[in-house]
Amino acid sequence: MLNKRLGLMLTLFFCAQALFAQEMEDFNYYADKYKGNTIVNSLFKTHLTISLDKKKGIDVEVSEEERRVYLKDYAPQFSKSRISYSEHYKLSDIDVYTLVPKGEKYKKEKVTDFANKTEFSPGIFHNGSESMNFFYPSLTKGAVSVVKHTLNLSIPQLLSSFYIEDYYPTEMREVIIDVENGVELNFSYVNTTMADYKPTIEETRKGKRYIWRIKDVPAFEIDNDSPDPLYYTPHIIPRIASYTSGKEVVKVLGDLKDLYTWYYSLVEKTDIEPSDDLKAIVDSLVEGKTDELEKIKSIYYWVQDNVRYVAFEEGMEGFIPDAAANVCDKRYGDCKGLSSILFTMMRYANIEAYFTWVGTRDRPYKYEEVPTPMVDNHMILSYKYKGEYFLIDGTSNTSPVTESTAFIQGKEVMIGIDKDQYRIQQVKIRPPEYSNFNDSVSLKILEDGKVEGKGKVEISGFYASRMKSMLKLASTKEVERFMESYLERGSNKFELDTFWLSDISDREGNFIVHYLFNIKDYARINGDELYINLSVNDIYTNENLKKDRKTPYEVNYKSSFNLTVSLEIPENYNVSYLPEDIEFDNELFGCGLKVTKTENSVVYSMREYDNFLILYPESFGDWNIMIKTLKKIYRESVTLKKV
Amino acid sequence: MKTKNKIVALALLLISTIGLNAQEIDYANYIWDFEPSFESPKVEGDLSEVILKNKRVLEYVFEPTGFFQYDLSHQVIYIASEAGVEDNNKVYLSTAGDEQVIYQRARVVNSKGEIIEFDDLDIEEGVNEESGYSYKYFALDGLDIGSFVELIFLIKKADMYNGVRTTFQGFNPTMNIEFDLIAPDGLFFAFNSLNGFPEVKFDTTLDEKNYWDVLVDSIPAYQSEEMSYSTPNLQGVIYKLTENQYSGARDITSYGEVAKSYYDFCYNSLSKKDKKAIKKLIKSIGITDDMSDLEKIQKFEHHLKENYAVIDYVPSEFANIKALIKNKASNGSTFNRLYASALKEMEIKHQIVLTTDRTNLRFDQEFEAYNYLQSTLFYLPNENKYLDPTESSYRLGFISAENTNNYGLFIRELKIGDITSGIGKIKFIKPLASSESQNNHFVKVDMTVDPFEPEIAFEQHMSGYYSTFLQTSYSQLSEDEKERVNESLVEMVTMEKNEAEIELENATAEDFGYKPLILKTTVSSLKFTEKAADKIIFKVGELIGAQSELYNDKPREHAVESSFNREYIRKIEVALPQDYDVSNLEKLAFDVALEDGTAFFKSSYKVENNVLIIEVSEIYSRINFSLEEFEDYKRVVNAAADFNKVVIYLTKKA
Repeated sequence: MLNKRLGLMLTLFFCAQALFAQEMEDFNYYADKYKGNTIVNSLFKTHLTISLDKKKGIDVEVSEEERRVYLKDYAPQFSKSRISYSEHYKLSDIDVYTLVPKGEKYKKEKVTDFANKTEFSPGIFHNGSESMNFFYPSLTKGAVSVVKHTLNLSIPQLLSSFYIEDYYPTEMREVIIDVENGVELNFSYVNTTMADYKPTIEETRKGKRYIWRIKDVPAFEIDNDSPDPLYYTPHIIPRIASYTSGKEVVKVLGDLKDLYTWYYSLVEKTDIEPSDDLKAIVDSLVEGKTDELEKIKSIYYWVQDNVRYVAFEEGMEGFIPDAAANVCDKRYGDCKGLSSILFTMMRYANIEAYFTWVGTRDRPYKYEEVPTPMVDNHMILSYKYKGEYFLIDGTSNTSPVTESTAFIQGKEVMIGIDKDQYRIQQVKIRPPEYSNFNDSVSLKILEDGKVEGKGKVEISGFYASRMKSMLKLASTKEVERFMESYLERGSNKFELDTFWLSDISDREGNFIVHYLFNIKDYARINGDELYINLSVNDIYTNENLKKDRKTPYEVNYKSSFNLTVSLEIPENYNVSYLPEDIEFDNELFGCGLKVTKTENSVVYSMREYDNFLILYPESFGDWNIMIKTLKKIYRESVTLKKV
Repeated sequence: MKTKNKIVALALLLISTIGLNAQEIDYANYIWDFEPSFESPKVEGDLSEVILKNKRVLEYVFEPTGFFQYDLSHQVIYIASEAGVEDNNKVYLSTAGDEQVIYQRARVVNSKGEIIEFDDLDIEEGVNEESGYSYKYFALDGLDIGSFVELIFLIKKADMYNGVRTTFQGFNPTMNIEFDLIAPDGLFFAFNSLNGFPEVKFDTTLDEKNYWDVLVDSIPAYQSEEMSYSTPNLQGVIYKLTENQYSGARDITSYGEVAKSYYDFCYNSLSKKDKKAIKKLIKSIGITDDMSDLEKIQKFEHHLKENYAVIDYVPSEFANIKALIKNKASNGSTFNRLYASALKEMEIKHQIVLTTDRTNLRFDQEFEAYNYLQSTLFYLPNENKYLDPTESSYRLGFISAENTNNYGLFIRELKIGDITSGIGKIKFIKPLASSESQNNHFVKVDMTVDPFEPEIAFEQHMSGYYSTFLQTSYSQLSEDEKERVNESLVEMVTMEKNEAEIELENATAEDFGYKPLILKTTVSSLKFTEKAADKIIFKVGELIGAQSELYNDKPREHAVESSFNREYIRKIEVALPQDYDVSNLEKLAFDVALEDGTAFFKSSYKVENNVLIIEVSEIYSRINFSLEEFEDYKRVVNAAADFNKVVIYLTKKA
């Protein structure tokens, strides 16, 4: 047995060591090296410890240390800070202090006052996130803030990723993982390879230690309309494949099968029995329908119209779908609850329906490559019809029965067939023609340059779903206001006389709006000449992408745009000039203009298409040429001359 | 969990559980009708919801632990649309630290007439230990169009009697409005009805209690309009305690009292250590006795605003002047005290000004209540300038425009013998003159080289409220941030995305209020030219930037209220190509003005040495324009929007 006194001395010795061993930040070094920055992380360290535990089986703990050097006079603005945690990542061992410069040395001022806060995330009603808030004393220029804390993970499957980059540049990024023998740990490297960030591996008394030490990490880039940083920022996703418990090997996330097994064990807990209410609803919906698709449609649309999407992610409710009967009574649910009610209703109507997991386009991963809950963040439902699996999303209130949403295009889904079987399927990416905007306008010139016109906008695909979804909740007045700006053509002297909308509750048809309007002073009269610009609806006038931008550019869906304007040639006038045809096309995008004359009208046709979801920097030069081409199209006027 | 059609014997439950003397509070056992009998209102036009009942009862009581207010709210909301469902299917109830929710009840009667009641198990709770607020929130299950939502809350509060506003008008119509105030019979309250809300009247004294009330059948939905603020125009009431006959105190909520106590708070509550720290701070900044008052305060203010931070919540141990100076950060109220004492220490004549944000509540000269005293400012009479100690993007002479054109309580020092105290007076806080906030454009267009894609040199001069943010914060940006800001400035100045460089002059806090921020950039642009065969349509009007317009003919309901007085001066010079004739110039001349000249748009042009020179001045030197003046005001605004559309034609010489 260790002598008590000796133990105390040893502790003291190690403490003293720790104090001296901690290399103190040299302000001049940071001020010089990171000139122009506000804050530098001198150290950002994550220490993951995975050990075997007799009671729990496995114990997962993440300790973090973040040291920041403040380079500017206005450092006190950063005095307030916080540590985020959640019910799956319980917070402990908080140690926070400021190192205040005192000549050559630092004085340590400890934070003792902590305030807990329930965090609300936009769009999520309740998600169990909390934060510990505090105030760094004396956080002046040259000071170093230090925050250390530990998070205890209650569900080993939920181990999160390690990001290399941070919002601020980092002098030293350190990731240490201690794994006890008997635990098998795997890694996925994203936007980087093992070769870039090779860990050193040390043998420890109880197992292995992986160490990454990365120096001089730049701050991560973010731009408008860039895809989620997960697409380009390097990160490492660790996952516990298995661990031994006595003589037994407990599988956690060795491969996709394990992930599915875990997911299935959660879904299995959901009560899928239909309540009497639900049965009655389904019976009335499918009554008299013999065609299976008609039944599916009636159920899906009923849910769209009657059950609202409210994100609610507390506790295991974040993983286990709510019972269909509950969702039906409450008339709201999160994505899992909505999938659950659809599942139960369809199964009750003898339709083959399956819970389906998917990562929205925010998550760049594939199931086989990242078989952890990091891979997905959403649940939808699949149904089998004529041998094919169709995907529907309960959170959409306007998608047609044969189409899922734009935000999962191109992504893999995992369809849960039964306890042992799942199916990975890729969501189709719809071509530009699928989501089309088509505007046909006829114009007539009245006196004093006033024009009168009628138009028809017809939009399809994801564009139409989005429009219907937006208008579905709007009041008549809001719809009017929206249409006044949406249909504004030519100039803001545009006056919308009247408009008619197609039935927005019709999910399958295109969205159509007919409109009548006038624009004062639109045609320009110059002596016996009259100029009129027929580009009455400009798009992308200001979408130049910077040449040196490093992040890609993302759009919601591939799309196409067509504008046809037919101008009635007024009496006593002749056409004296028509703009020349313009074409600019490549595989990813393009545009064009064609103007023709018929007997008593001029017909102007303009088109544009985007055949990409993510545009990478190598295409930005061409993209800007297209924008310039569009600008040229927009500035062309037709000239009419008095006879 | 939900209990459908289950009627709880609430009254019994309440008496047994809430632990307050039920005899004392009129509404301790308040409950809705067991059988709800709501009638669907006639929904005219386009409404998301109709508030069928809005009852508020405030009862004041003395209890052994103190003086409390019980605040009862009972609402019935009819859901008329999908948007109404979205707005009402989540209920949030937030309470401050010393407040206590005595009971909360919610039920929904859905479109089928089914009653769904909610109990405590449905309620989620959240905390914010910093602000001391806690939140209760729950989702109302089963809500659909045609539903009625009924909510009852009783909250126990402390210290809410010196002036509180309750609004009864919203953006949906409200019916059956009731407001009651109940107090022990020795307490008397006064009321200020706002924007046409009926007077709250004393009703009776019964069982040793005073009763005031008002009943209103209905209040229409407020129609918000651009160029006016909604909140200060909503119907409602402000109430305050005026007299306590038990103690003989009169005029309880009065500015005389505030002037004294706020003065003491600012100057007389400082410890010796605090005072020493202030002296040391002033010295360390380099403020010396030989400096003028103006030099002193400006030096002080710049130093504090560039090196210190105002933080919403700081632990109480840091809410004192010594800690503020050490940490270079504290809450707003500690900064107010620091400025007050520092001004005194520097012997700069000043007054404290307490006022409101007029876009929320206009200061009332007649009715003294503490809810008019939200913002703390300083007034320096010798300089005739105001200072906002906690707003880092303003400097002496500039305070939030929302505090100006408004009355305020000015507190100055009163010395009687050795005793100093504060005395208050209500005065008007004049808005700054239009010349103080300019946004001027000087544009030189060279069409002599490529008339279809001319080179345009933009120069924009901004001052006052237009430049405050940039001038006071630009130097604090990191290089990356500067790059991003510059990109957006290029876009703002040239009116399209351009990869051009931009030059900034006078982009420091010291320049703010003295020299305009100057932005210069040159680009070649297709944006302003249109082509019609070999003719050029030059959209010269667009060079003044996009203009707001009032083209809409809808009848105006509210007077115009703007944020600040302002001027726009523009000089556009276009070097015309030699081989072109120019026409349509006469359209460039505008002269539209309000009769008294407080708002106008004027423009003129001339051609000298083949350079077209256009001069435009647009000035708004008044904040409020009445409904009667609206048509004239609109003409001025629309003149700018019309100028924006003027084009000139360039035709190739034969």
